[in-house]
Amino acid sequence: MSDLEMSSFLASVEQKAFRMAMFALKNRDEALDTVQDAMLQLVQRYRQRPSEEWPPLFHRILQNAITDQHRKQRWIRWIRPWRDEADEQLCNTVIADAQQLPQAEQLHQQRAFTRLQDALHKLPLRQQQAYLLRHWEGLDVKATAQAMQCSEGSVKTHLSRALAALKIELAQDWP
Amino acid sequence: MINNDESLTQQIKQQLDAQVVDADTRLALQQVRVKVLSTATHRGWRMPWLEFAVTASLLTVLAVTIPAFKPAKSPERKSPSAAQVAETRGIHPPATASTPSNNISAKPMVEEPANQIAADAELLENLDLYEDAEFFQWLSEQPQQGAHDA
Repeated sequence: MSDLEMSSFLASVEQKAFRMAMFALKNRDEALDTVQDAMLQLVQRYRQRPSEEWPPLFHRILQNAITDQHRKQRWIRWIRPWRDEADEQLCNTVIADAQQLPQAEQLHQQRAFTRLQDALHKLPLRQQQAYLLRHWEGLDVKATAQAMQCSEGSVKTHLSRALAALKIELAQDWP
Repeated sequence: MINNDESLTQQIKQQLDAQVVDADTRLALQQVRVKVLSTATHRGWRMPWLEFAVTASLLTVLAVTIPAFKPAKSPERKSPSAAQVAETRGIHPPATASTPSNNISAKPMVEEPANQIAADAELLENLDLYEDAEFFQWLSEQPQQGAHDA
């Protein structure tokens, strides 16, 4: 496979990958590092594979990298509990509006997105991963299970729990 | 209120799709992609055995260099030499004892290499010790002459 093909594939997935890493890690630099590691592993190990296999492989590598980084963060948070506040502030500066809407609408959108972001942050990592892969990335249950390296039953359990938690979190604010 | 799971999921998806990454992060991601692709492309040129060989040779050089290096010893002795002791007592040592020391110390130390200087200093020290031992032996053999002189 050509480098051009790989480059266009990475360009198509990099932003969603970064945002998934941000939802889980809440730190811009760590999210960038995680995406870089995932890209590097994909290119080094699976460049020769057919391009149809790249998306599930990339998601599996990315989710593993996110899980590893999340574990590291838990240790670091245990050692340095004051680290969280700065990361949260940085997290809010990363995402910008996509559309050119009126200011009031923009403000409303931003507020709704902040609530969604908070609700997603509060989910346990596995539920968050299952939800984002299934309902945002659009993978089916089988592909989600492969990406998360668990059974399809586990994915369904994570999804239903995530949905229930999001319903509770967002019910009051979202119309 | 949210009616069912499907509408909630759709709302969340719309909200997530409506937001994008800001320009700085987009640029950073682009740089990451370019870096990843260039690293993977140039990886074929890397030779792992070369890294090992360079590291091994550096370690060998260090292993040879470090034992050869000796810290400089203090050249001056604080205690008085046997000749000085004898001079204060008014005793004249035999003529053979003082000559080699004088000859060695008269050599210019600056022009010699560091190893040679260290070896000379060691030799000089040994000679001094030998000289001292010889002198004190000679001194112990002639107690009467010392008393007679006094």
